Amino acid sequence: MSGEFKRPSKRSAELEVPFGAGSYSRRDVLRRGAIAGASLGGLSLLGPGAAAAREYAPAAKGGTIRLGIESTTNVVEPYSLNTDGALICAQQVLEPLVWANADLIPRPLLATSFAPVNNDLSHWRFTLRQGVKYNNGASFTSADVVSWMDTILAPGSTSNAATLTGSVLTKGNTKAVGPYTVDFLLERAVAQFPLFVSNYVPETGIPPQTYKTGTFAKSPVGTGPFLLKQFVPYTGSTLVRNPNYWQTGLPYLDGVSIRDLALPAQVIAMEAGDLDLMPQAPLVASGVLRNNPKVAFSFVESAAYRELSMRVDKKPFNDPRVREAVALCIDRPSLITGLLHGEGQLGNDHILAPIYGYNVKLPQRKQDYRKAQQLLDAAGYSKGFTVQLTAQDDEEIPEYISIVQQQVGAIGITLELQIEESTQFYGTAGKPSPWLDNIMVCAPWNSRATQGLQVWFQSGNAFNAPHWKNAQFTKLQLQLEGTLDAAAARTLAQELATIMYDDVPAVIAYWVDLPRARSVKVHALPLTSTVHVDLRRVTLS
Amino acid sequence: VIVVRRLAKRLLLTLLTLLLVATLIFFLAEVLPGDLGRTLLGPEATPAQVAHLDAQLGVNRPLPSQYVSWLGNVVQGNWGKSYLTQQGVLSVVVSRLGNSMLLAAFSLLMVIPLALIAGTVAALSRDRFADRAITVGAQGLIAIPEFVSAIILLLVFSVVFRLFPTDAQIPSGAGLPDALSHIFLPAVTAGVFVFAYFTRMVREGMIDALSSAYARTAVLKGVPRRTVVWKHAFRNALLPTVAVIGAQIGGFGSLVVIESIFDYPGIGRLILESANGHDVPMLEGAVLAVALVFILANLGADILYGVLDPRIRRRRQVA
Repeated sequence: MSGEFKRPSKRSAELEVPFGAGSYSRRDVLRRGAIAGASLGGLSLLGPGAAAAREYAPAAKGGTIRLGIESTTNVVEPYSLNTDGALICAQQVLEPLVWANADLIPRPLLATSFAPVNNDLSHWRFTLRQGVKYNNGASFTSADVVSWMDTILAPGSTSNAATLTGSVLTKGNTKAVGPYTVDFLLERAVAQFPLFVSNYVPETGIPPQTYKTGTFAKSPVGTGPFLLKQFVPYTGSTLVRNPNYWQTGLPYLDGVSIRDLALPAQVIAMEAGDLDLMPQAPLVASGVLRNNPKVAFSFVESAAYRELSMRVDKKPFNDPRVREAVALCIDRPSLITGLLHGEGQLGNDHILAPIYGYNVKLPQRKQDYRKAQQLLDAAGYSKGFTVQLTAQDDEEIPEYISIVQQQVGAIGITLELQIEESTQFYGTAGKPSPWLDNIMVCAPWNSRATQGLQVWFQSGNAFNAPHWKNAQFTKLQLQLEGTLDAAAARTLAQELATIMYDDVPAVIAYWVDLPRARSVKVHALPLTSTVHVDLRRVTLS
Repeated sequence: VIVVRRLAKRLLLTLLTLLLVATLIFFLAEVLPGDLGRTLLGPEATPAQVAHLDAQLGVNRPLPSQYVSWLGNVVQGNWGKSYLTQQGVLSVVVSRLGNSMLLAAFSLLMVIPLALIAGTVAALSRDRFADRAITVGAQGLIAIPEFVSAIILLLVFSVVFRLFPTDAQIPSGAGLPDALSHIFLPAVTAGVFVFAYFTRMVREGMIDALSSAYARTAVLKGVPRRTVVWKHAFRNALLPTVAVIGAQIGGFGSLVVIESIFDYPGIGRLILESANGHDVPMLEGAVLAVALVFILANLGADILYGVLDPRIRRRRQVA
């Protein structure tokens, strides 16, 4: 691997993925209008069995990979994986039914196939892999799946899975049809349901039915490629190879060391060769590490974005012309160049991210002060106004909102910036949340595997920061979620995007490409559009 | 009887101080931004989920009620469990405090002899080049924040020359040289400020002692200069320095930054982690431990002060 920095194209990114070569990307699938066949029965054929035939020869077996994570991992608990450190650790030990990489294709993992029953997208049947054993010797069966899904989706559950999938699947609706067959009875039709039980909802990694919540760090039991040897809060985890892993011959590594490190310490350790992988390298680190010939950087297109939301129920943002005026002040290409070092995609104030492949066609919103001023005048704010913008202190957001402040200042809007740590930004129980209650807010959103997991603009959603209510949007999003037909999906996506584009509940100026830094001696690391790390086929040279 | 009474008085004062610190921290923790349920569940939990978990954990109870139950447990020797990690507070605090003490001790062992030498050399060559170089150098070192000196040391010694590891975590089963190599850079970082401060203290103390009447008398009596310096002046010059060393042993403030940068599992980082996570039992335990060490270190400095200065011993005996 050359040390020279090159931004991998989508295609070259796929080539790093053992699964990827020869498979369809999600965008390809949509482009070919083959979503019905490929995303269901067809895609299930691209599981590990199919992948194994295309597997790359390992550079060398053995060795321990050292990961650095900027997180304060206080606990690793599969019920709620709220830090990157906990998530990456748990995903080496526990496996979900389905795994998806950067191409967002759902591939069976603990399942062998999945399909809707009688073409009813609200009733899915998963066939489970036989012969899989937990490291305590118990066999993996449908009872484990039912037990765990009912645990994380129980009424009043505090698991993040309940937040993400609770409106689709509820307790009691995961049924064991046989020892290796599970049915999911959904609240509504969901075409991409396999992604709801994939690594993109990390709490769907399945522990045995005997698992007692809160005991994972002491008694870690899973089916995954690695065994948790030691977890030290705020310090990291040590994992060793699972010698009885069900995928014979895997993993290639002997172990994994995950360290919680502050960002400067991570960068220095990477520079010194004391780390092999930063699964989510902060953008600022890319500037420092790009010149190191022993470090390779990759950027993966993602659906991660910064939501600059405006309360549509409060003055002055209750007038859509004011919101559009704000959107027209933003110089988006310069944000990508300046803030993201060129590693991002233009946003157009809707949530249908390019990676979903809907190919939405709308005029790209550009900086246009003249039109913005006209809109502001028409709304009765010709002299501008002053408003507070609250943002989370995360990644490039403080710089982003400073630029926004400067750009909207050109039409007389004065933004008073308030930057909060995440503990304060997301709020305290029983008190107003800056994120959800303040009039103008900038928050980061992680990438999701499907727009069906991006539901926060629906009317009444708990995370609807702009307090936007559009019944048509909600209806269309649910329709899109339940649509298999590619042409119909594109039409619905176009309509959804148009509604958001016209009404501008939030400015979505860009999509962030996920930066990942690795030592050049790390091979065959699948790319994902999130922090998830699949280390099964990774080798060290 | 006098000694026992004095000890009892000191003990009572210590307990009162600890109670005051504990009370202060408990109520200050309440005004820290954030929420325990939010920390545990992360940003993607709904407000309702956060409120539900807070209620389950009992952290939504009125503050006085939480305080009374916490204090009652501590008085009975039960320091409780961490809200976040479910570890026993006492065992974690003892382990982390031990790590920090090791780091501080290693740092002081390196720094104190160097500071004594540098301060003495500066005093003996007062207003000459060596004095100016040491004084200006010390002034410069005091001005460098720990996070800057830590990064510089890491870049030079870990990245460029690869002499020391970038992290300070001592691997289990490591021998003494390996262990020391891991904590060398953080110890040096912690020692930079202390070295500069001690050097200046020693220099001032030495200059005062050398210009005192007894030193001049010794010189006039024909006592060799080396004897005047080491036997008469040095011991007296140490007195203010001892008090400062006592305060430094108990002062863990700079360790928060150093332990975070070097990924060292010490008490400073524990305080930071607990405060960030609203983990009140762990925060209380860690702060109380630091307060206790601070009080004991100052007590030790007082005793050492008496050993070094016979006048204090005699004054106490008369009293």
